[in-house]
Amino acid sequence: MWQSLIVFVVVAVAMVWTVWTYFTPAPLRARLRTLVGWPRPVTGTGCGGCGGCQRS
Amino acid sequence: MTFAGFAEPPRLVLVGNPNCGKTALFNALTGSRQKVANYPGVTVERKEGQFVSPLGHRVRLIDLPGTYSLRARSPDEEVTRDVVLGRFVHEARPDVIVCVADATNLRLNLRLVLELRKLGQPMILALNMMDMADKQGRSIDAAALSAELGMPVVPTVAIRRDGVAGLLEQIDRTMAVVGAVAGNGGRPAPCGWSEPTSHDLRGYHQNVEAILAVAMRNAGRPSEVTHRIDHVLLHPALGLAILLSLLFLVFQAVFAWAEAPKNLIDAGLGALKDLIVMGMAEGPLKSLITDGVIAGVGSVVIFLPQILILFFFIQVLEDSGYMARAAFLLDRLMGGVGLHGRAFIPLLSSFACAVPGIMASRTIESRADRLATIMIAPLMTCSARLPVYALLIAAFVPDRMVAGGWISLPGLVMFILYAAGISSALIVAFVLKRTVFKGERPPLLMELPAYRWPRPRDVVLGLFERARTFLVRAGTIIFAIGVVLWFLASFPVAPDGATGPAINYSLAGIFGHWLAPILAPIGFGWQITIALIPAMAAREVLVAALGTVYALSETGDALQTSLSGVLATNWSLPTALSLLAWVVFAPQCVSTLSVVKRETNSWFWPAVMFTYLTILAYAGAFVTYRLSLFLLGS
Repeated sequence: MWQSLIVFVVVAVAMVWTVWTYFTPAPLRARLRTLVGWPRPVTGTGCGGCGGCQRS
Repeated sequence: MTFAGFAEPPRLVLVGNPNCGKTALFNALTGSRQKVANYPGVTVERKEGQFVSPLGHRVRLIDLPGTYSLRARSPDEEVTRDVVLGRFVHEARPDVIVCVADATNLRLNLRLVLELRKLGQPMILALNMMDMADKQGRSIDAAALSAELGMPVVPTVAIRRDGVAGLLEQIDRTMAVVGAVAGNGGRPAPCGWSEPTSHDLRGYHQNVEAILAVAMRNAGRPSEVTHRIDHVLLHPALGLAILLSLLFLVFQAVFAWAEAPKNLIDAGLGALKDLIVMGMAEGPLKSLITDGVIAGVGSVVIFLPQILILFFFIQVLEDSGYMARAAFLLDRLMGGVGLHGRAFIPLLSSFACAVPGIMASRTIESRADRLATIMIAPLMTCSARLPVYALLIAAFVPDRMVAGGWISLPGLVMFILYAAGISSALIVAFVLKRTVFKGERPPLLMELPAYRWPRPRDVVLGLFERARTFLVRAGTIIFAIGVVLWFLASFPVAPDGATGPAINYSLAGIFGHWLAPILAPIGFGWQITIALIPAMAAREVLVAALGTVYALSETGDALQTSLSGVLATNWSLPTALSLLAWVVFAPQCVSTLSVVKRETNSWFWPAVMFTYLTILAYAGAFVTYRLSLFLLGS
């Protein structure tokens, strides 16, 4: 029984992590992060996440 | 603590010509570990770090791509221009520009210094690579140079951290002055920037000559050693033969040297599995650990030594200055298919991973050339393919020496696979440049760095970073997908009285059997079909997925055999060759598609890339499978 419980938790976390990381579009992920009050992720390229690439 | 006159930590930017040591200085100041290499074009994006000055003030430091002028011609140079000129929204001009100049090539570097000086921003000049300048007999009077330029000049050797303390003290002094000016009614408005005219450029040239006449006590002589080595290594025929021999030796070493550490990891994983098999009660958790985690993640981790050996050589060649020469050697070959010479560095980066390779294509000025480079970058053999190749070679290629005992057969096959990736990329480029991306091919202009001995510390740190990245991937994406795949391959459980392996009744098994007819013409069974789907997340997941699928498919003794042994028993040689062909062309991972979307600002090009690579992979695997069936029999 305890084995099934641990397996359930591990599989659920792995599924959520995979869906969040690989299958959730980046804009939606950023919006969801903002909704729960997490900081904006620093993107890997160029702008450092400031949104400044949309020139004034 | 911030400087007086500043509400927030001040922002400094590092600006300079390509390959003058900006990122080495950034790492020295911030303690960061950004990639540095002895060739131009390594940094293609803005990178930010922080440090605390000797007086205890927090400072933000931004490392920028190298440029010869603010007249940006390529996307990476545009980043530098726009940050320096404060053209980004939410990002004002930097408070201080730290201009980094290569002391061995001051004549060229000072032109950018003069162009930046015209902006009227506070500046510090870091005169870098002073050790190399000393070796060449150059004598530069830093005080005279400072007086001529009207800005502080600090001699540095960034890769050894020499002069960094002096630079930090100078930053404190400059920031105190800038802060005081800001406190007394604000800083004067910086001058506007306009593209230098030919008259301006002539003026810069004359100014540079005048400055050098005062500040350069002895011009020294360029390194004779570099000249002599180049005479051999850049020879059109001999140089190319040396390059090919070097690459060949690297792949021989990848197999010859990795055997002992691989066996060690294998033994460790085997012992861990035995411990769990013997010490744990039967149940789903035991199956998850042995069939999901150890069989999956373990199958990938075992290839860490081979990846590190390959990158050891790449790092040494990069740091020595040889890679820039390789770009010139291959320029004629690349020009033959219409590729820009600058495409070499992005394609070279793609051997580690297509993502930085695609980003490195920002150094290419023409959009058509840049797109052509992006489209072929995934055909370079990234490090994620290495475990797949190594697994299949170990399973199907006899470990013996050929050519009179001089050449290892597995190493030779690996070399051929890498060559196949490069050849296919060149063929695709040839087609693209004559159809979709037509245009003139500009000549390659690139500064050749001086040769230098790679620093052991840099090599070790580079390998440490590579190992860390690989193990983090093994512990995150490969682990997570392995767990999910184990779940899909284990549930629902087999009904009572079932005769076949339990995986046949699972979701993954049903899905695999359903899709198998599509891939049957290229020799793939349902197990390979299942493994190919999660491999879209990362290519090395293919190995982990095969490990899990076969661990759940086999019973009894087969469970104790290594994955390569299982494959050798279950697959025919044509199937293995077909899978190798598939992996050479395979549709790239999700991360690659995402970065293509980001770099092209459109979903069109990722869609084109995915489609053409899928067709190429299927066709390649089909031809390979049918041809090997015809030649070898089933």
